[in-house]
Amino acid sequence: MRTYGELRLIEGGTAWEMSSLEPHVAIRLKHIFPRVPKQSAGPFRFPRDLMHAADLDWFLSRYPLAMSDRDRDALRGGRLDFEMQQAEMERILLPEYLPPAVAGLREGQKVRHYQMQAVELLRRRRSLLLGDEGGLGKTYTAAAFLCAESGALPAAVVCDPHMQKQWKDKLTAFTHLRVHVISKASPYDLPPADVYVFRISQIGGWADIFATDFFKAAIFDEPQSLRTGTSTAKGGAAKVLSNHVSYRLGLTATPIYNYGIEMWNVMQFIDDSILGSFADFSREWTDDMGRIRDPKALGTYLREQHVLLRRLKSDVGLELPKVSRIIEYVDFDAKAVQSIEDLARVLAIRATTGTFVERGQAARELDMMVRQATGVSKAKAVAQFVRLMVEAGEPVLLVGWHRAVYDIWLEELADLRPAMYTGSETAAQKNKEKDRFLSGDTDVMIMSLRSGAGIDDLQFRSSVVVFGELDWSPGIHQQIIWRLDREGQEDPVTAFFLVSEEGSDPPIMDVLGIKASEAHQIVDPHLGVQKVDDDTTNLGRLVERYLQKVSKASKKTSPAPAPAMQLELATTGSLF
Amino acid sequence: MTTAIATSPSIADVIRLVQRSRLDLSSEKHLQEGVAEVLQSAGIAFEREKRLSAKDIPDFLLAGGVVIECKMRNKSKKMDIFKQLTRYATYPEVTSIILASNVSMGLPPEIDGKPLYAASLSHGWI
Repeated sequence: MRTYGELRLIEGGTAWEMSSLEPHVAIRLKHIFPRVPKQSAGPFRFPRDLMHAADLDWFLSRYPLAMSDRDRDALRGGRLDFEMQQAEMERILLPEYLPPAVAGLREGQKVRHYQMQAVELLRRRRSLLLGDEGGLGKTYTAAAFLCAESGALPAAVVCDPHMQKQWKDKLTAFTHLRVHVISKASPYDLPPADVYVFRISQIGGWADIFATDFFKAAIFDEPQSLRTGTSTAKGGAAKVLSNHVSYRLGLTATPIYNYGIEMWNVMQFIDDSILGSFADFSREWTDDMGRIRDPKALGTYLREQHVLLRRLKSDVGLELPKVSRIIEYVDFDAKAVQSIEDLARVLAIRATTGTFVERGQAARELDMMVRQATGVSKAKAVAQFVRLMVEAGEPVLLVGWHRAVYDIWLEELADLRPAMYTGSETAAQKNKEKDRFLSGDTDVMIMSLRSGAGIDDLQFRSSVVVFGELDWSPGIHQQIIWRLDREGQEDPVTAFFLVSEEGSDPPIMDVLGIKASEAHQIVDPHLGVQKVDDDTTNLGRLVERYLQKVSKASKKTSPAPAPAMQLELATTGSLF
Repeated sequence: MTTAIATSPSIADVIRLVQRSRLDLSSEKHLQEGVAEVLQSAGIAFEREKRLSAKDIPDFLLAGGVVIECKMRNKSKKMDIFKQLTRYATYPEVTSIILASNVSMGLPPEIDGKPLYAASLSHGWI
């Protein structure tokens, strides 16, 4: 048989090396495997995994390469294993798949079919990024996995600080697993338990314990928190954990917070063979600017590898009330901005004329100040809008970022005594404030854009979220909307984005659009152009109810209409 | 510049349609395919890349002379976009212009007496 080069196993059988390729075959190879450096003349190295076995074996059917019988058997075997694995995964994902029963659940608790599919996929594949849409019960899926797979215990859960308690509560209520909440950032004698729940900020000190193979499974809750990679203390420790367990599970509906390139970092903790080294990944997937060249292709690739499993609510027949997103332009208080603008002018001059370090610093400060100024300038209008909602009988989740903005809201809404769930409160205070909102002690909860991922139960209390400030990352907005748009919600959810035509809002919105589009193509490559529901009838109903209330009240007390009402009408006027 | 509030209801409908659609912003090619898809599904008739002259080829020309020009952030200079729209306005077959873009830029309410609207491609993604 004519051959076009050689292929052999190298590095103790962990990699393939292709050498002595005829030049035209090398060109073909580079077309088919974009991971191969274009300028390389060979030999070419490929990792020995099932996917490469399948792809190489297929390439060899067109361009046979000389190889030893032993290596040929290894390649064939790899391809057959790949095909069997693919068939097995496909079988699990079929609607008629019958999962085995799970022991260890509390009486009356059930695991849903789609959750069991994820459990069985993870048991076979051993690493999985579960990207189910918010509200599908990812925590329960993880709990079911820990019950179903005895080889996964003891397990380590790594989560955001405010989620530690919720993990314990949910696992304890759903299963008989013994849960220990880690209390320190440095190792101590661990009590016997099945699951240990770490805050992400604690794991830096535990790397040596992780390296002892004590934990058998790692569950990364919202692993996009690790998107800065393995070079940080928490990232380094998470990588050690990931390397020393048998099972790795990531739970997030928004694996990408900013640009698609973050997917590589997240995959380092789940399955680092999937996207190769960063150099491989860059060659294969990104353009000169570091943006993903074809986000849809990356999305379909991750799905074919079954490393990303994502179902939407509609996929699993979970019907929730619809969500409307309404962008509303609010008044902008020019005076509030004046003083900051003067300072900004000085900074702007420094940003263009200063030394290199000064310029960078000034530009960052400028960005921060403009964002804060934008938030401050519309804070009063936002507070009035929230009051309108509350007085119409709707409890409101109000979301912002800057302390200065919260202060204005707190002052304007002082009589409503808003609950605070922001960066300033401890985890314990946050839980207390959340309870105050849930129990009906207050109708407003002010939440920070970045402290909301994962919290549950708000859906039983509210269906209106008001964004008084924007985040640079679209995933953050989605996370917050999912606090209300989840199982248990009985009313249509309305998300109001109150923005101004000045300041930082317009450019932030443009960047948000680009990021959201890129992330969407990767995570949901098969969905076409989606239309957003911008139904304002819910708002119209609320305003009407409010006006009736106000006119009744003003008839009783004084004939003059409340001055606030005029302003509120001005704010919402463009809707009608 | 007028956003969303338009004199003719059909223009308001087109702007709203574009603004509430989550269009693929990874390239101009994908974007234009998406715009064509949503126009089609809404039953709005259009011509793609209609040559007004060798130099002036708007992305979409709708019945009644409404031009939709798609522009992506960081792909063209704001001044160039404005000049291009100004040229479109000189053609008698153009009655109004919608700039569908994710570039925040100031626009006059009309050019040469022809109304000019902005449809944000970012809105749908927020």
